[in-house]
Amino acid sequence: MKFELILDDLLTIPRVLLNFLKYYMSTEGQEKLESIRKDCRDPKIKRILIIGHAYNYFASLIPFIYLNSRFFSNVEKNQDSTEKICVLYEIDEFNSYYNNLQDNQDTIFIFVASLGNSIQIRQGLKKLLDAKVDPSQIWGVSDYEESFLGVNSHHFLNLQYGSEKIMGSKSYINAILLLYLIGRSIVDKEAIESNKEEEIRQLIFEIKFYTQDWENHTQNLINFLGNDIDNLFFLSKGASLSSAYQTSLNFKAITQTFCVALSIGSFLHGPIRIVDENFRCVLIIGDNINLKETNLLIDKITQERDGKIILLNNSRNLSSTGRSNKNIFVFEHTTENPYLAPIFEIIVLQYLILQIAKNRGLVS
Amino acid sequence: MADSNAKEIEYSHKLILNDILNYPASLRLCVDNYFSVNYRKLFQEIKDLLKTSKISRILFIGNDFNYFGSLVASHNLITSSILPIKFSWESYEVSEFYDYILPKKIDDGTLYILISKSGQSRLISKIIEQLRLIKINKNSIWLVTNSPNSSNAKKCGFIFPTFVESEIVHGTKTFHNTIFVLYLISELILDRNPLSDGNLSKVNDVLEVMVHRLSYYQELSVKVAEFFGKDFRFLYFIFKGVSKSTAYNSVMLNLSLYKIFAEAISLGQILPRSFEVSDKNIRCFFLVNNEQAESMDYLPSNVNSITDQLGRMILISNNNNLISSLKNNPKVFSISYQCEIPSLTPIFESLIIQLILVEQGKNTGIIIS
Repeated sequence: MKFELILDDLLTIPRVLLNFLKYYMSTEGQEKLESIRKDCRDPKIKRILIIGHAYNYFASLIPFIYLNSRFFSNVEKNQDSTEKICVLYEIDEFNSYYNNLQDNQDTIFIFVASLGNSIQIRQGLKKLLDAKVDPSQIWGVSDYEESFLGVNSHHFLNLQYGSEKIMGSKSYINAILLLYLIGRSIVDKEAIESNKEEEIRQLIFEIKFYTQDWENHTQNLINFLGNDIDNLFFLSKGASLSSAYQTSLNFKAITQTFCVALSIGSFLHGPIRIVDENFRCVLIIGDNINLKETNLLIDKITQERDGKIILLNNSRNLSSTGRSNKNIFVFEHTTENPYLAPIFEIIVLQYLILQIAKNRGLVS
Repeated sequence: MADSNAKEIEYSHKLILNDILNYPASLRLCVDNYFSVNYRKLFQEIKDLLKTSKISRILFIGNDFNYFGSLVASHNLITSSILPIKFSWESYEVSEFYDYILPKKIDDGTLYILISKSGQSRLISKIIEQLRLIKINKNSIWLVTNSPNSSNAKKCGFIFPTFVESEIVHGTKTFHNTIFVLYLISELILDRNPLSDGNLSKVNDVLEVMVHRLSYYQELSVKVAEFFGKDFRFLYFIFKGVSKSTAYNSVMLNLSLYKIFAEAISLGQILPRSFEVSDKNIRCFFLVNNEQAESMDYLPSNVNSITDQLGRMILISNNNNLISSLKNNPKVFSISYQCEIPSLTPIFESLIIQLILVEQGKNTGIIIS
């Protein structure tokens, strides 16, 4: 793998996101999202089934949390105006085991795939078509409208990421943003109302700003972790769990270092016993929900067991607690929307992965 | 798994092993209770209630092994081709549910199935309080627990005890019995009759095989420990289908008790990446049962690809064709079992894995011999 090629992928992310925004603010893009919104007004639609693979599956956690936390309306007003349930399937599991193929009039099947032509995506689509599922209930998210997924999708939404050297480096980010917009459309909201446009532009600006000084930021993270780490934990909750899972997968693949992604709740029930003074983790917090449990976790790791945490978060309160703890390195960002925060989180973590790989001679 | 609130405990090999050897007896107690007249009557009552209810969403909520056990019920529902009523279902880890999903207003179309060994855990108590506060019908709150007389149990419409008398390592016997109880519940939801005489016969077969093969698995675990060697630090639990439940539970057990870094990963996730983390420190388990085996002729080549990259693998399966097709791969150590009920295969997988881990723990000095 060539360092410069991967770096080029990462450096172009702000531009790719701007192009994405431009497209979905255009008449064509808006019409696509409005069309989804209109279809989902049909009260018979009760279930949104999202099927994806690897990073697309992880990105689907955004609409999963967004749609299923329908009573949780701190972040977005009127979020409880829908009764649509979101269910996620990894494509291999869907193809092998999903058998509820009768009486599916209440379900929308959304396939998410960067290219849309893989054998598994074809098998999944064929499974539905063979079962005579109404084609209007099959939607696709991909970058290629002419792909097998594209031509078989009633609604096709383009990821608009162009090309990428490392699978998922750009398409994962656009998938998060697009799936969030789809989630908003499903609950009958204007996908990009003016304040959302402002939020997204602010996010892109923050990414651009980070990109200008990525080496310095990343080196600070590496200095804290140490050069000789042979394992790393990624802990998170809510929508940011997507960042933990995606980073864990890429970290293993690119740095050849063992790592595990777990929810905070799972980690507190047993695995915390593995923490000692050599323990290192990245704690990714993208919302202000139940910071008491997060603080409990931080105390157990850093005070009781002397482990170290990189605290990647968007909470002023949490950051200030962390700054007074020598076992915590705080990285605070300003993207407050918990469904958009995973985009900034993955940017920071992708640079970290790349630099560690370079330091270890795994990229040239 | 080890209780995170407990002080560091020195578990002995003998203590843990005796506990594992007692798993079939523990499960037998649970089975005998459920196939009694009282539970048959209760199940019929619930079936009648479900037919007239407005349930359109079923939520399974629990922490660690309870959550992993719920994945068995979810899987059983996924694989059913016919649903008696239109409903969807989700499984949630209890913290995630409490933080993001717990309703703030009446939601009478949802059935909440809470799973908690003590029935008294902090978050389960808070969840039950919130459900009562928003006036959720008591019959829409079910509790799977080992403490059927707890104060929380009294606030739930239906209680499903797990009948575990005692366990050395937290959540081990409970995991198995919880799987069994959640299997029964998922069958009940599917309007089947899990407590029929025919099913009793199948469950008895499962238990008999387990008892009969226990000493064989114990002997095998010694060989597996030799096959694995002592020089590994990382374990992958690769799974497909319902084995997800065992894989996740085994990871928790490794991290909390044996202090071995471990990760659960689906076959679908591991393959395209071809696992770039490949060094001599890694070993893996592959867990897959024979469900839908006829459409999985690709599995032998998948396994060969993984062992080419990762090295030594323990395959635990009741898919005899798969095992036989891999007999010439020296990097695969296969362990077969027999189980006719796909939802109960994680119990076999877990039993075998725990025997292996306790042997490994003794060899590496993690637990005292």
